[in-house]
Amino acid sequence: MPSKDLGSALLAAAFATAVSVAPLGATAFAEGLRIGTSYKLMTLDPHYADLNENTSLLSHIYERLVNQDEHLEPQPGLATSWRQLSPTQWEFKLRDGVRFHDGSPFTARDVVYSIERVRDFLKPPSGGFQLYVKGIKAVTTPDPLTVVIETSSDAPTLPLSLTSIFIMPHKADGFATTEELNSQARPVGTGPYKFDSWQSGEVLNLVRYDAYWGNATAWSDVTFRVIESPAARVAALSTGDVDIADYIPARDVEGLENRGLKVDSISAARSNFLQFDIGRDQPPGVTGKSGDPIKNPFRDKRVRQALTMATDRAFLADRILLGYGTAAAQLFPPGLSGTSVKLKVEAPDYDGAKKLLAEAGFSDGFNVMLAGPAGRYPGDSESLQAIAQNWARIGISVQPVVAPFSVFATQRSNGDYPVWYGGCSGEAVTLCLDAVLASPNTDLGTGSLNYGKYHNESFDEMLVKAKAMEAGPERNESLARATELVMADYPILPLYHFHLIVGHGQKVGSYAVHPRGWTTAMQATPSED
Amino acid sequence: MKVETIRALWKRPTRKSVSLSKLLLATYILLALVAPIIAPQNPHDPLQIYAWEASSPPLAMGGGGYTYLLGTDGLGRDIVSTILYGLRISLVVSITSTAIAALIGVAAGVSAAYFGKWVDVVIMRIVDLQLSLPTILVALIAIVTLGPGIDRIILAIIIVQWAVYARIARGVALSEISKSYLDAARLQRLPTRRVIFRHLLPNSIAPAITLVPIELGHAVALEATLSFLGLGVPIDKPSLGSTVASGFQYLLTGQYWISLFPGLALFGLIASINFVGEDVRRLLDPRNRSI
Repeated sequence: MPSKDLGSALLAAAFATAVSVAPLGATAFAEGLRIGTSYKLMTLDPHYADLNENTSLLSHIYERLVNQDEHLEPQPGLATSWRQLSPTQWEFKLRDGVRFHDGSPFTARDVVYSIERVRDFLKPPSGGFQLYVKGIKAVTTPDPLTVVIETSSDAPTLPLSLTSIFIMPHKADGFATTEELNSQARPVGTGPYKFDSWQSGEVLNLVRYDAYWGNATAWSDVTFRVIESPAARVAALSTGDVDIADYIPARDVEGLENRGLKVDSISAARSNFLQFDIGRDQPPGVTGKSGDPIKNPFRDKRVRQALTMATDRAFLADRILLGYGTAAAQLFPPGLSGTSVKLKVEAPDYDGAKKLLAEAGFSDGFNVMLAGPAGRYPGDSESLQAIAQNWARIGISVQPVVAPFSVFATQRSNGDYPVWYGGCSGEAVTLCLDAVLASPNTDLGTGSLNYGKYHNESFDEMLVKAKAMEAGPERNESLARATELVMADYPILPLYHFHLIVGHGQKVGSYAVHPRGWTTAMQATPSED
Repeated sequence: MKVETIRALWKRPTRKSVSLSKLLLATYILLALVAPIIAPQNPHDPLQIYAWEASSPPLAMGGGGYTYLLGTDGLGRDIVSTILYGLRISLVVSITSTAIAALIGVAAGVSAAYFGKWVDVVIMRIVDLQLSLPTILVALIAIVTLGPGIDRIILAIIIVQWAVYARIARGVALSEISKSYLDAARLQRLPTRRVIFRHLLPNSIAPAITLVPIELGHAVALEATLSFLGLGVPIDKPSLGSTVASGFQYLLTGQYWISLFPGLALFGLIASINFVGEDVRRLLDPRNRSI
């Protein structure tokens, strides 16, 4: 019976088409994403160490009460709103209807549990997160969706502090240990992706959490592959082994674009700068032109200003970083909250700089050692040589010295250098203002990166006042004013904010690079077709 | 025999390739000597460098009024000048270190053979220990403990190389000691110093001399390796090796000239030293005396 044969053949053909179409249709809506990352995930404990390595990858599984947007401003996360009840009391309203991956509802108890776990339970070597919660005196829960946090002193930026703390589900008895989280138990959070499997330091597999409270996630599953070498990451992206690769070296961008891959970038929330030894009368490595020891020239503001004027920062950003850098005049790139719009990078003025040096009594210039790490930050050792060329034009002969970062850091703490290359990054500009520019003070926890022992009392006062203000435009304005005041004294020589570069293949339409340098699947939008 | 060694070295070479390599090596040394005169730019003087002309391709016209024949590197240094000045550093480092290593090594080897007993045991065990470790590892440990700088590199290469000479010199000296002319010298009750320096040393030195050019090539390569790894010469005074290293990162962007030309220069230098070394070895080999 030919007609029946034809019919069954048609049916078979139709079925075959349906079978082949169905997965195609499904993949178009729920594709897997493979990310090659430099971040080596070493633990599944979200409170273990405050490093991008952990927070970047674990932010798929766990969420925070407050998120940080691309200007570093706080945005609602698991908390929908917050307000200050008194200078030492904050109330957070929690999101309703949120469920953990194991089905249990998210309530105020989980917030209490997470904060107490970081504050009271975890002991060194775990560290970093304690800083954000050590000022918290008590956490109370008036109702299951409200949390009141009481601090021991004024805490105008508590919401910002909470952008660092991941929320874990509470345990009926005691606290979960790090070993427990790393071994048998699956990490359970409220995030858009569920944990599937991992190999420490190598692979992390995640699958979509269908009951996620927020917008539906774009990818059905996500695989993170740790590829530490930049060249290997670039190669994996070029050959299509991964869809996204983070921390692409600027020199590889052109090659990737030639192969039809796309690149997104943003100024990192950080800066690299030169720091001067201001504390000592006679730092090592500085001599007069005839090789005799001289008094510390960096104590004179005019010398620091002259060196700033004689540094071609545009060259560093355009040529050494190949355009993937922004010449810097302050600690964070302008546009991020708490930065100044008035501070500008001037073109080098060698004649003006020479005049200033002469006024300061160094008309013949001097010899100085300029130290830095090799290969720790983009363009570090090349910058030192370029600066040596710049400064030679105002009579200062520079001996650039580079060393592996560990050696450099040790020698810097030993006080072996007169001028050196440094860097600072963080979740808010206040962190770097405190660490790099505020006077060293162990009680206040300021000046931890102020290796040159710079002191400026009026700046210290302004900074303390600005930090005490409630988050908002006024506080940002005060921070900007304090920055302008201190930078007019040339305490450091800001060089550049290097750009974070992420490359992606055809599957990804765009990737929103975050200034904090996180690498997540949530930042990747699938391409339209 | 001492006179014979020197006479053998003066003999004219007969093979063409050998003359070519000698010519090349002579050119290298000459270029290194006159580098400050012929180089269009002093790449060690920051004032002569036009930073904004960084990464210019070969044959680009420069702001200093001369053409960058081989282009400029990522910091605006003329590649021709960088090669010429780098050559000086590479040659100074390798010749100095090889000469000192040979002196120390031969002295240690001959002493071990002559005095024997515990002197021999101590020296030769140190030599064994050192030769059992990979060269680059010993050099790396030396540089990391001594710190960077040209003098430290020379010291590191000496530490690596002296053991090779010591072992060879001891072997030869041991066979010389059993010969009758040395017995004669000792029976005349000549002072120990005179026996060693006038009789034993000159007769044990020939094999060590054949080793010198070979080790010289190794020294150039070792300095280049250390500099390539960032543990060598200061960054503002690049040798051939560190120039290749600094250009390495630009290779993928198509700026081949920064690494390629210094790399070719380095290759030619090591090759010519090795060929000349082979020639010296051939001339001093007793089995080839008839040539």
